[in-house]
Amino acid sequence: MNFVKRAAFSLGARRGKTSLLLGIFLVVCTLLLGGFLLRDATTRQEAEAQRRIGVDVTVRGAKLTSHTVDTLGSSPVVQRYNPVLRGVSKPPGLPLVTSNLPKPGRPEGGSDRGQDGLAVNGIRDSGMLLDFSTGRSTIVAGRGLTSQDNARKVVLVNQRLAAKNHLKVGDTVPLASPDGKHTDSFTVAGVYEDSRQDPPQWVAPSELSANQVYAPAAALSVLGFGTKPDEAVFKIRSPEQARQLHTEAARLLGTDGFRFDINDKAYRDQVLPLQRVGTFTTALVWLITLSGAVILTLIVTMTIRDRRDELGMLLALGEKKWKLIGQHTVEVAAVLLPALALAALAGQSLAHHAGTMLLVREQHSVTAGQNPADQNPTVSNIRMDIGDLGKVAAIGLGIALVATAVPGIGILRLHPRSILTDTE
Amino acid sequence: MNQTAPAITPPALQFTDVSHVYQNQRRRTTVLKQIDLAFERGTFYTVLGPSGSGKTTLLSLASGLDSPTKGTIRFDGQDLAELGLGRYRNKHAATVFQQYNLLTYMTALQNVITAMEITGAKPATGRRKAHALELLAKVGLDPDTADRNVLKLSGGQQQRVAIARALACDVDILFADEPTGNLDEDTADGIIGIFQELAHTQNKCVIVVTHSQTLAARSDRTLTLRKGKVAVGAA
Repeated sequence: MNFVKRAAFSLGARRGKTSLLLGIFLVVCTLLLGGFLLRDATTRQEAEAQRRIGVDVTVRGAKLTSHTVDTLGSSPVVQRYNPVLRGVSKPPGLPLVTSNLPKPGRPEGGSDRGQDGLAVNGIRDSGMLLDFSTGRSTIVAGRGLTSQDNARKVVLVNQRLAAKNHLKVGDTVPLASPDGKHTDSFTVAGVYEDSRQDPPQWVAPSELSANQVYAPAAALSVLGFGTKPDEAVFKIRSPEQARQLHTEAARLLGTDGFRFDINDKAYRDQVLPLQRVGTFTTALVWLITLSGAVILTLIVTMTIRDRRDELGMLLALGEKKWKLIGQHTVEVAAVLLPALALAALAGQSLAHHAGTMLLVREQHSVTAGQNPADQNPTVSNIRMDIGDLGKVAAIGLGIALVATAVPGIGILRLHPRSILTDTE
Repeated sequence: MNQTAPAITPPALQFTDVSHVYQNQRRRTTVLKQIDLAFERGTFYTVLGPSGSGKTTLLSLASGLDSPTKGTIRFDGQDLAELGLGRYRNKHAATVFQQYNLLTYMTALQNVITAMEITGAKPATGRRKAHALELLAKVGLDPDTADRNVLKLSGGQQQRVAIARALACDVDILFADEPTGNLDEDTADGIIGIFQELAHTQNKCVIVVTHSQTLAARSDRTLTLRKGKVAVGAA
């Protein structure tokens, strides 16, 4: 193993070249590590975003029933679903919130206030309602409704309605069927706040957000609201899965019996930029690997040309050619370890900054024309593990081997007589 | 009654009908022509000749750095082509080059030790460092000088390191190309003494290519090459 010792002497003595190699390896390793970390993070984040955001598909149609909605909801591509069954009823003994504005055609302070009724919405999963998923409505007491509530007689009421009727979580409110023939008591499961202002003109009480209540669709069906939802929203993982859901919907509802709207805006805004960053980093990793190999090959080739006399001398001593190549490989590879250690310190921070910058750019290109204040993109989940370092070390070692194997062909062709200067 | 014939010891190195041609794209130059030579152990040879006479080529072929275009070269009766030039250089021959060809990233001591490691030479004392220092002292380099990088040594000192390195290989044949050219008279005299000692007390074969008549006068045998042929001193 004397060639390893020679490599150590050479590295120690040629500090300038060693520093150059270290610098190049540091850049290559840092960029590689950054690329890997970014790619891993975007992959994780993409999966998380797909799970969290997904794509909303809204199905409407006369043939839509609670049963068909449940059947579609059981499809493997559907993550969550929510039918919406709308109705208006006048609950006995529950004063509604009314508009303070005068009703058109009536003198101010006229007696028509408080007519109409309560907007009753039969749902399955309040978290899937657009108002709640966008944060326009938030639960301020109790909880939202979930699929676990099924046919339970529970209700989600607006904070203003709750205040007017001194309702709190656990109290009961009467809900009537649309025709007013049946009434049942529902327990307040949660109170929500709606950030919207009332319209600037008079509207019927059922159109005020304060008079919107939500209860499980199955429980409302029993009360007499029917079994035909106005629409159903299905959350799927990606736009590509919409085709499968459409096929299933067509099978259940007939090809012309429904409307099928895909809302993939949130997906496009958040998942596509991540996918683009992931694709870019993969290309970047390849580019860095290739360019690193080329640069180091050129440097080692030049070094070997400068060291022909030394190589000839070693051959004259009977040193084996593979050991000469081994010495150069060790010289290049030995620099890899400190470069890797330094890269480990810098890679995570670089990946975070580069990832966020790339994501901002990608998101701007995807959401051009929208309010950038709504966006706060960042690549999180950047975690360095031993696997990432191992991959970088393996690529670095591969680069070192390529960088010495190519000039090594020159060593194999080297003849020791070349060191004898022709003095004759 | 059968009589046993006395064993004939082959020469350390024997050239038989050796010719060598350098050829490039346009020219074909015959440098050595049908050389027949024998170099014996225990003898200190010098090879003289004007520039272009083929001295360096002869050294190149004899030291196993190159193989002849025609003819055979035998070490202890074995064809070098069969023995392998690499093995021959590693175990049986050492060369002191005119340009020293030291490993410039090492000290004088490390150069000598490295040569021992590559050739596998094991000193009688068992300790390579001690033996290397001993050899360097033998060529007039003290331990302080031995610990300096060779680039910080004068030309003469570097030449002496190169000689110590060749001695460290403990081989059968020692070749040298103008080994005293950069040395002062006293040091050169000491080096010649070492060559004589190697040949006469350690039974080595020492072959030195030189222009120096002084050096030639102190060798046991002198060969003179002219136009690729041995003009004087052929075996």
